[in-house]
Amino acid sequence: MLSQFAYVPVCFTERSSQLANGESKDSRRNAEMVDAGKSVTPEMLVREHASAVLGFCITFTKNFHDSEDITQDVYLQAFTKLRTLRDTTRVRPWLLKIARRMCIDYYRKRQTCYSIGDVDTPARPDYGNEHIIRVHTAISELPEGYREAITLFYLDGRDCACVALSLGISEAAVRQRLVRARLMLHDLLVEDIS
Amino acid sequence: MNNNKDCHNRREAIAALVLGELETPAADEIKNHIDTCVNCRSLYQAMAEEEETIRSAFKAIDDRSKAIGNNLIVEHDKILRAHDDISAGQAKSEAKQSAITRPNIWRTIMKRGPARLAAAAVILIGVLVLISVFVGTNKGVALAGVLEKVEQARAYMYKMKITTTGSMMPGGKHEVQGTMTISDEYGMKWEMVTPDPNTGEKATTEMYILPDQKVVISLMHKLKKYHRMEFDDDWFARVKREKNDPRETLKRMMACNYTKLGRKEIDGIKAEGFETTDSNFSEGLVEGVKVTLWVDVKTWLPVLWEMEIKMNEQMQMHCVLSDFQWDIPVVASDFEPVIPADYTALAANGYNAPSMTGEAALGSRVKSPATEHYNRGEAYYLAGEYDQAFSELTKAIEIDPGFASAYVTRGMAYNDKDKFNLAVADFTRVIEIKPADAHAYVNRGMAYGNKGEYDLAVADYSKAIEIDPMIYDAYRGRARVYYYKGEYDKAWKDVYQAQALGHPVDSKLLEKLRKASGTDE
Repeated sequence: MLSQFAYVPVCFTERSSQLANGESKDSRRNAEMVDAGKSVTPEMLVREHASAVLGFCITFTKNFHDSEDITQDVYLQAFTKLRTLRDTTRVRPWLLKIARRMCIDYYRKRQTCYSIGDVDTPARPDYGNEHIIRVHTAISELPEGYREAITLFYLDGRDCACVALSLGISEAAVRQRLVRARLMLHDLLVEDIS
Repeated sequence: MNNNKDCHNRREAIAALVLGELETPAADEIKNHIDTCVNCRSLYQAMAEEEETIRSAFKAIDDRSKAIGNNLIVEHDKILRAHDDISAGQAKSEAKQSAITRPNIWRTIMKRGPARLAAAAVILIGVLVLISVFVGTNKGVALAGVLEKVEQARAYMYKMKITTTGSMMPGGKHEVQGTMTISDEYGMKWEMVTPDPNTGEKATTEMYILPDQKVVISLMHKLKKYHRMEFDDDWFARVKREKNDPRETLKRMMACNYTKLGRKEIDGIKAEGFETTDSNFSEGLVEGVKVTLWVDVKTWLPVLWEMEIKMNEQMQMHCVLSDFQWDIPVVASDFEPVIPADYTALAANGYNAPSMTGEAALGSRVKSPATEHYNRGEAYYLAGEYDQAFSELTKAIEIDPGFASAYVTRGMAYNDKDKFNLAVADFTRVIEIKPADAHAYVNRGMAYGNKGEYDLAVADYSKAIEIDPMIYDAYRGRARVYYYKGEYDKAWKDVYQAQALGHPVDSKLLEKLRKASGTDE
């Protein structure tokens, strides 16, 4: 009966303690490369991709609180559907696909979209001080494709190749979006100050 | 000098430079330009300064994702452990649960965290149904005539299928199928099959409940393990008492409203249906329940029995009892478990399966008089019979002054009866015995909170969090105390923490907190 849930690695708990200590971005990226082709564990899903999923949801919903809920839902669904994942090198796009679908559902339910700075969605202290919240607010105002690219860029250790893989577009396209997104972000931040 | 138009065209190159996405010749070129152009230099400097704040902003997301991720892993881990408990802990939980009355079974299910709920509930529903049939307490759906008939059958068997679905279950679904054989004379035999959600491979478990020997024996064939557990006189006496009191059963039955569904044919048998959706069936502790019983109109014996239970949004359970065979011939050897020579005993210490009603491992603990008092005391406590509970638990403590579980249960009982000083004393004793047990501090924090000693309560909750940062009960408790103290910001922080750990805070507290703090978060 124990082997019923065979996809759970023995090192599950050991690794989760590593997670608690935090890992560098680079080790995460390497882990993705090294583990490509091997079986994907729920723990790997979390360790390597949770920040991207959360970041993606925030860019989509522009709401921290709901994004956390959606992230949890994304993972609960991913855990149960892990067996259906055929191409283990495409974990990130697969997770983001689930996330996108759940975010769309969320939109349908709410029908409205708030900016992070709106009164209805007060700043979460967990997300930092007012300067940091200003950055989040500005990012939430970028066009969708730019938002995604820049969010994943910063969350993935500023690696264009990773972002390209996640979004399924070319590196050149990522770079172009990034540069433009970064300039827009600058303009929004300057505007905000003045 | 450079004109403005040229500089405008350089904006993208500057952004790329800041992002570290510019190749060497182009990067050198733009750097040289920045050195000579005031406008471009100020743009570069401004963007470079922003970089730090932007990175912090994403680090905040990263940090939050770690907290959420840790929680997800813990929850997922719990689900898996809970499922392991099905094989390892079922015998134990079964006997433990049976010792208490039905509403308490429900209460106990609901007391567990959502993760363990799934596994616990599958087992407990099984037990509940099993006990119902065995002792004839067909609460809410049965008719007196059906009861009589069921009691007349000296041996019978039926098939049982319990399907649990929901997002909390790995694979979205968990299924247990089995055959139950029940004999007045020899006891009960339950053969269970659980398919592996990945491979479809089936694992079979046999469980024997043998009243004469007062023992429950489980054989886990796939693991080649067996588990033997004694149940105490009290448990069985209680089952018998209930069995011999049809009035009591009838009264309970009347407590639920049921409707007649009319007649229909099931497998060629003309049957009459009864249905209840009365929340009394589960004391309102689950979100929804629907029980349908179809009875053969000729024999007045059950033909099909279905229970649909909605525990919450994440979990639903469907239990079907069918293929009843009444008054079947049985022989003693049907109820004699054969343990193959290569099977090993499932060591009580090996799996540490938490028993459903507390930490006392009924089966594994060497039976001392203190333990017996404790077991009785706990059963009384769970049944709401506080005076007897105090007396038994005190006896247990007198015999074994280091019996932490006895202090915990007695402390809980004192707390329930608003005797907070005594509760604090008992929980303090637990801390003395087990200084590294975070739950011990949570318990005392609760008692201090109830007593109105908020600072001491906060200290205890904080100590618990220091020992175990994932202990959501402590955050919930501390949030409440901070609310009482009027420290709403701190209360909100703890609310978030509890939520981040996947455990919602009492909606009434949230409402009060919203009103008092004048904010939603």
